[in-house]
Amino acid sequence: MTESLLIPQLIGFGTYALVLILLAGEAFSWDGNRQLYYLGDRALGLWSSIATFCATWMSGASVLGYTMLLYREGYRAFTGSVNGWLLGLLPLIFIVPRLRKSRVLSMPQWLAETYKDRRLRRLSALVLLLAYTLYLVIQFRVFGTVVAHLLEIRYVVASLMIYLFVIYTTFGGLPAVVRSDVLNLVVIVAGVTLAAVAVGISAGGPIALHQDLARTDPAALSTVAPHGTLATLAMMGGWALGVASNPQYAVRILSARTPRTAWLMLGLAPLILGWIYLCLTVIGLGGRHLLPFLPPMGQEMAFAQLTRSLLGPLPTVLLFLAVLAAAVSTANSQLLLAACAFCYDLKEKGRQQEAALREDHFLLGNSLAVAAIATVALGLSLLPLPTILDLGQHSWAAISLCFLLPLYCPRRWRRKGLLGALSIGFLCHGFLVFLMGLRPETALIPALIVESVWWRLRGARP
Amino acid sequence: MRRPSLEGSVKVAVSLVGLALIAALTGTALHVDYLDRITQEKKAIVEAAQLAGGLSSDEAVRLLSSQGRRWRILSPQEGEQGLLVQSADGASWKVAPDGSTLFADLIRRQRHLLVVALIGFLLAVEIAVFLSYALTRPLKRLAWACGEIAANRWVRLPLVEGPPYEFGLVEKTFNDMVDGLEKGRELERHMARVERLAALGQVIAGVSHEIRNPLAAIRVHLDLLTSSVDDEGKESLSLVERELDRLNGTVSQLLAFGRPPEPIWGELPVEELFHWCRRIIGPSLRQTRVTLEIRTEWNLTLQGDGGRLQEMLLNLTLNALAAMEPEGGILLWTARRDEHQIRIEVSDTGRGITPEEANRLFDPFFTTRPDGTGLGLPIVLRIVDMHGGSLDVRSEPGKTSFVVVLPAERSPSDDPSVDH
Repeated sequence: MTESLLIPQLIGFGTYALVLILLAGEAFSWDGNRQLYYLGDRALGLWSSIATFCATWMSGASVLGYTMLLYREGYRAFTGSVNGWLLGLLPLIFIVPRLRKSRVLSMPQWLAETYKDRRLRRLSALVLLLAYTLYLVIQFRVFGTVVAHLLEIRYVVASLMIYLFVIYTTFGGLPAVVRSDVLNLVVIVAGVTLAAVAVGISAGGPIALHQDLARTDPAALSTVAPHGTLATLAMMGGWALGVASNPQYAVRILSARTPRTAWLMLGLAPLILGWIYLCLTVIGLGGRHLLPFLPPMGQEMAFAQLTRSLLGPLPTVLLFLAVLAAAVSTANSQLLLAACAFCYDLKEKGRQQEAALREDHFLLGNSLAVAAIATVALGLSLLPLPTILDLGQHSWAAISLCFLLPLYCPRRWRRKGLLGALSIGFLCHGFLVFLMGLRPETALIPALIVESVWWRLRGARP
Repeated sequence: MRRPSLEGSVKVAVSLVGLALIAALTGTALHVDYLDRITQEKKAIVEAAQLAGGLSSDEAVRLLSSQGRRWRILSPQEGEQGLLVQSADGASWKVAPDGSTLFADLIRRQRHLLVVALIGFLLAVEIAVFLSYALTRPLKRLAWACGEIAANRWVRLPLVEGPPYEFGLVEKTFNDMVDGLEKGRELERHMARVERLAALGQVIAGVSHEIRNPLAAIRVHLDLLTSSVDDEGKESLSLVERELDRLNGTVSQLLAFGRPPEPIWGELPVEELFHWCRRIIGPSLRQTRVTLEIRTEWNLTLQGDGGRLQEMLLNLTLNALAAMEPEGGILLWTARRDEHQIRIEVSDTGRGITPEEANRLFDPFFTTRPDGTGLGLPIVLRIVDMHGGSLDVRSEPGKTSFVVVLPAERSPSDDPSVDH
């Protein structure tokens, strides 16, 4: 790296860190309670809701992974992933009334109260705890790798930094997460926009870029995966189902001030997300066109190499900061949900103290759980685990198997025995993935079908 | 506008102090390093200038350029400062260290220092968060407890293990203060009750006396009338006589409350007291589903007026039985010696007493039962006071206990027969 890039990167990173620290706000509010901590007192306004929804949506892995997938595979990356993600947003609109009607604080609690089975709460909380810990590992890895490249420091030191960032912004619960998400979204949008403009100018504009690719690299414009349309659709469906059942988004629906706020959030967020994906598409395809040959290396390294080669100092720094902001914004949201699953759904004991003191004690326990879960994720991120994509797909599949059916099942279809159906779904998915060798997202749809059929046929009428 | 919180203030203060420290430390480290590098480069330029004096201009240029971008090579006419280097064939240049290149190089070499400084800063802010938590939570507990006491709920701060000495002391002092306040409040209530009772007693005694005299006259004339009426009249007179007896009994009870007779001091074994009372309430126990349990130590003897002590236990027991109707339950009498005191406890498994009822429990004529006179517990309290003892009530839903503590031995000064 040239010295000229290191100084702006250090300045940019330091400024981001300082603003984030000042924005995260109080960790232990005097009047704090669990509704404020988990759901922002169900009083988030429209712009806060949109900001936290979009910032949580854009993970470091998706910014970096999608750009590099586009670089390697062209438009088919869009068909397989972004299409699926955005399609998954549509069904969320339909569960707004269902979620807003209940006064729960967590999705496992919603599951248990809706289906009147406390075991469902334990099971789903356990799934969330494990899945989000794995997600955190992904974010830590992305952030660690990018910062290690950015500042030419050791990966462990860089991982330690995201660990501190994330636990700091999660200590204050959802209000702190939302405040940091506003900053993160601004950084993400600014970073990808500036980088896309720079790449677009180098490539002669998006239309010229498309035309050049059609001429010189027609394979980049193919929208179907080499394994065929079915595989592409399966991948797209897998991602869509993962998004539709992800409690991260359900929690944003619960925390919005009114159902109307939630609907508007779901209606306006795709505009911002669409813009971010458009910019990433320009960067990925522009990179493929302008710098077609990269030496074989991991995708984080390749991303760093690509952006440094394509962009000037300022867009490079801002794009790197966008990746970091995306990693932090997703990680703190997931960490909060994992802590909620652990402290509220799995561990909460009987009431022994006065209400005010008990609540305080409970919130302290949450903050300690936040630190503990983040520490476990940090430790795992240093181990040689599977690649980012694999971890993500396993987590998404587990969450979909747990929440999709109960969230979207029509009321008249409901049956008793959901726990049994979910267990069968997990068993079937495990069988298809670990014994039959299917990819987690491909195995998800058959496992969901088995789960639904089992529930429908074996479950007694309520 | 909400005033800043302690946590926010501590965080901002720590952030500013952290920033200042980091800026000072890293700034000093970088500055010193930078000056060292400049000095080194200047020394190297001087050595290069000496070497260049013996070289041709081409060789001198190659020598100077070999240092890369660390040196700036200027023409002698340029106004910037630098060391004049002259080759053997008379060509000359001004050479100076390139500050910006050296600085960039320095940053690159010292990047770990900067990153560690950032990590230290993050850690400091996170420690500040927990520090402010540790500082504010005892205050929050204290504020909560003060609020409860302001709302007339006598709470104590739950003592947690391992608070710093100062917070522990504040919490203990607070709890002691609440104990003192509660005792003071109880004393005030007791004094007010005693005053009320005294005034009421005088009124009751006067009125009862005025009623009793006409009652006695009515009784005498009723007896005279009995012999001069027929059988039908005798039946009516008998009814009048019974009602007169009842009225007389009530007046006697009022008089006993208003102007209690002098106590007759003596000894009363607790077994005898319990035995007497069990005989009295036996029929009631058989009619209800209440089980009586007795737990007492052997050879306990009370010092006092036996009749009054019997009245005391009977009143407490009748109250307990009434509290357990109609579901039944367990009535428990316990007696034990506690150093120089004897402790008698009457417990029931009834509905319990609300805090509002507890405050008025010993007020004369306060009753929650439609058939109650509201005199039972005031009489019990008077008897306990008369014996120099204390009476305590503990109640929660499903369990109420009246605890009477009486002196185990009477001092001579207590005995009214002793002439001082």
